[in-house]
Amino acid sequence: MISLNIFSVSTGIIGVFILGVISLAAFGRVRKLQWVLFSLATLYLLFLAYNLYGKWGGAPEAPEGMIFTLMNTHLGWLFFAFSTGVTFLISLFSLSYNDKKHATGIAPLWTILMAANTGIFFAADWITFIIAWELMGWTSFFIISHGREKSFQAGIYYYALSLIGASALLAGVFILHSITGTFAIRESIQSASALWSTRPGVLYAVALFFCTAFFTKSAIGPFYMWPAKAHAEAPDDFSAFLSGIMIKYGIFGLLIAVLPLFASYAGPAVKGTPIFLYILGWVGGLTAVLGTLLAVRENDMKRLMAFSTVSNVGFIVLALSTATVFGLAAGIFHTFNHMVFKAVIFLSMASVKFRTGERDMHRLGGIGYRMPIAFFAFLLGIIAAAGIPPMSGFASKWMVFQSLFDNKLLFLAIPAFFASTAAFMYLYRGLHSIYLGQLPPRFANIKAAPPVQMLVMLVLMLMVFAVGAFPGIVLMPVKAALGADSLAADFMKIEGITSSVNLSVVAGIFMFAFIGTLVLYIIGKPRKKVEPLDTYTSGEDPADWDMTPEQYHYAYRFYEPFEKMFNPILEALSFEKWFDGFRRHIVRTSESFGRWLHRPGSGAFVLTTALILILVMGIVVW
Amino acid sequence: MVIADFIPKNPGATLGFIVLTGIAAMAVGLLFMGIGRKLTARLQRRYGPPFWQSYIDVIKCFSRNSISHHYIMDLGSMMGLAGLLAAAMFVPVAGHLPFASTGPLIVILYLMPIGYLGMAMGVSASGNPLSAIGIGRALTLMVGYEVPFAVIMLSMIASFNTTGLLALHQIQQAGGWNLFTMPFGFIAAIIALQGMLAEKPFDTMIAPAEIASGPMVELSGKFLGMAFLQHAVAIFIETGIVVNLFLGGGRTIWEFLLKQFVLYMFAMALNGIYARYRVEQATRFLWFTAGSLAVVQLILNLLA
Repeated sequence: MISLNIFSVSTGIIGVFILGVISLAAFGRVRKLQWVLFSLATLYLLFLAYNLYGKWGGAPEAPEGMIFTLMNTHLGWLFFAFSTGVTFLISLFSLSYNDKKHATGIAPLWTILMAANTGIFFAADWITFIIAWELMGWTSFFIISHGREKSFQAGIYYYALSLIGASALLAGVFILHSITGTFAIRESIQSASALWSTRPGVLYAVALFFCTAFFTKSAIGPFYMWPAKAHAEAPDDFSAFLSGIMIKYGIFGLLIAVLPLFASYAGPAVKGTPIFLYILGWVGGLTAVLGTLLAVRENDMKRLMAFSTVSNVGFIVLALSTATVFGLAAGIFHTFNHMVFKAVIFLSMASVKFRTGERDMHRLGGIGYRMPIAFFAFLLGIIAAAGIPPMSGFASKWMVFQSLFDNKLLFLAIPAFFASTAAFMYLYRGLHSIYLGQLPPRFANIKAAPPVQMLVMLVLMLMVFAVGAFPGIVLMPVKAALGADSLAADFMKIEGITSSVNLSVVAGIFMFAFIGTLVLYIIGKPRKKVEPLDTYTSGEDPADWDMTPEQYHYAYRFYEPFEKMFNPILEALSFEKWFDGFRRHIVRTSESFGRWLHRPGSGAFVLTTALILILVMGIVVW
Repeated sequence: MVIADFIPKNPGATLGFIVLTGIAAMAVGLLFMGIGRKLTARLQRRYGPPFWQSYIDVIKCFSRNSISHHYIMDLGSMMGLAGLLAAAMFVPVAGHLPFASTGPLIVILYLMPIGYLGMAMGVSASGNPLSAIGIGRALTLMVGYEVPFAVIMLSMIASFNTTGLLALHQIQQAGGWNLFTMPFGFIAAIIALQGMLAEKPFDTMIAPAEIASGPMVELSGKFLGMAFLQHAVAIFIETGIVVNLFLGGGRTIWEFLLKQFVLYMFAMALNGIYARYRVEQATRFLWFTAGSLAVVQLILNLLA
């Protein structure tokens, strides 16, 4: 018997999927309508999330032979609700973003992607999960490509990695099925995790396959380079979705498939953490460092933020690898915070690109003077991303650190601190190069972002700030989803192992101090406003050297000394080069094989061999 | 119940203490700056300004004309001072805090950057490339000193399982200074402190002769005054952290201030005799020298 809530989930998935297909097939000429339909679809999914709250469970006694089963788990619901909520806001932004000049035809595919999104978070068995996963993979591939040659190259890259991931996922699921005999996600993982004493090798293989699948999707470890390509080349509004939400599917996968596998682990461990998870933690920490170092030297604003995403995902993995309740809460909390603040950062940049059409930061500058809301959205976003109070990122980063202290994984905290501090560098670079400094004359007359875009950014800004001052808004649901009563956190305060912090007090003190400085500012003699070019130049007039504001804007190779320090290491460590070499080998081999096939004679040989093989296999099977 | 926790039992007194702490932090920092200038002058065989010169400077700055390029610049200046003042509220002075907290070190270390970010935002809005260069160097250097400092914090966790400055203060009051039990960590902290204070050899971000005092190049009047105050509060916080971590915190407020003073004078003396590192040299030095000393301390603490 199928319970009602699960029925509504399946109507959600299938309905939204069909809506997407109809929108793709029928309304190709009325793109505005496609976007409206997409918005409505996400709104419907949001309504579904509202309806499903509290109705946990699913169809455990599914009828015999039924393959597709769904289940409303608390954690899946939370991911679903957050992703749909943020996507709804992005969809409103897209309504305004896709005007005549900037329109892309991605709305129907994005609608289908939302159906896949629902499927991933509600899947109860591996078959449903894989189907939703694949649907997500190829729709996002088409969206990233969106009919442009350069984007297509990035899309192919992304899709190749997705294929590796999907194959690894399939392999993992098949092994899991062969040892447990069930496709149900929860049961298979549970019964597999009891096999540590008897078949550790097989379980390591499963964990490794799953990790490969989820690492490719979340750009962890050796797969760090695809976001920089795909996020940068994707449509600007979709980048916010890619970086905010899609990158988290791998995190969700780790949460439901890899970590529970170690629930009753008995084997070599480092300070109580299973050795596999300890290595996972180092992979996360090094990903955080690598993403940071690569972001620092990036001049393209979307690539910069894509690497920042890689770094943040590294943080999340670091927290999850501790596999304690506190660590899981920290990781999930950071996941949701990252969804919101990365969305606001990408949408702010999308607004800038909407008005200027530029992506290279050194060609921008001073945009904040003309687009104040976009500037403040970006500012609040980067404060959160840097993990500075009183914005949301601080609470979750603080928890990540505490989870490491909790497990005494102190050496693992060093890369985390490095990545966290160096994040200020690239985030400030974005703020300065895009929004501050000198305004080029050709952008002197640009208008502020359209009202709808501003509204969306304001809502997201409010969310970032509210969670920063009252972490409980997100942390309490996370706590409930994990069933973590041991987590001592309430609406304002979080208790860690080495210290506790009351975020509301921190935010309140900052506000109070700000009022104090405001008083000082008012006491001081009123200031005079001058032109941006009217700066100190040792008595020289920049106009005398034909200096234009563009040249006067210090943005290109902003951190040259730092780049000089790290470039040799980064060049030596480039996985991208390694993958590229691998690709060249494959191309060479397949080409020579192809040439061999094309030779007269060898074709007949291959055909005969194939026929014999088929015959033999047929006989064996029969 | 939650709201009741938030409102202190005696709001008036708490508010008064908070304001008092803020003013005291600024006053102490300015006093140290004044005496430090005197010390530098004597090292250079000059007579030097009177020790109250910094107070005069700030008052003068606030009463003079100033220019601003954009309201973002005004906002950045205010945010800069506010972040540092907020951080100062969490530093226990001889065990005293304006309101109940544990003196959480991570919160302090992450509240200070909002001050620096505000400052950076403000001077970026001035549009002067020299200030942007200065900020770029300052942030690079920040990665340099924050990493050793974080490792020092980790060694505290390894030994005492706390990041609360108040708890560390109490532990040392009972059991002796960490300076003697963790000498390598202390040396690393002193080096990192020199970077935090941006004194030579780590003053590349200000570098008056190269980039015309970097971030401050475009600041005038009350903006410069606020930058002064920001530096004063930074001195108070940074020396205060090291005193609480290694020098036992102090039984009385005066003892605490004396220890801060000694630390700052030591930093100023080093400032007087060293030349300036380039930023990548400074960062490398901080990582390799201070960082390895801190890691040695961490390993020793983990083994102990």
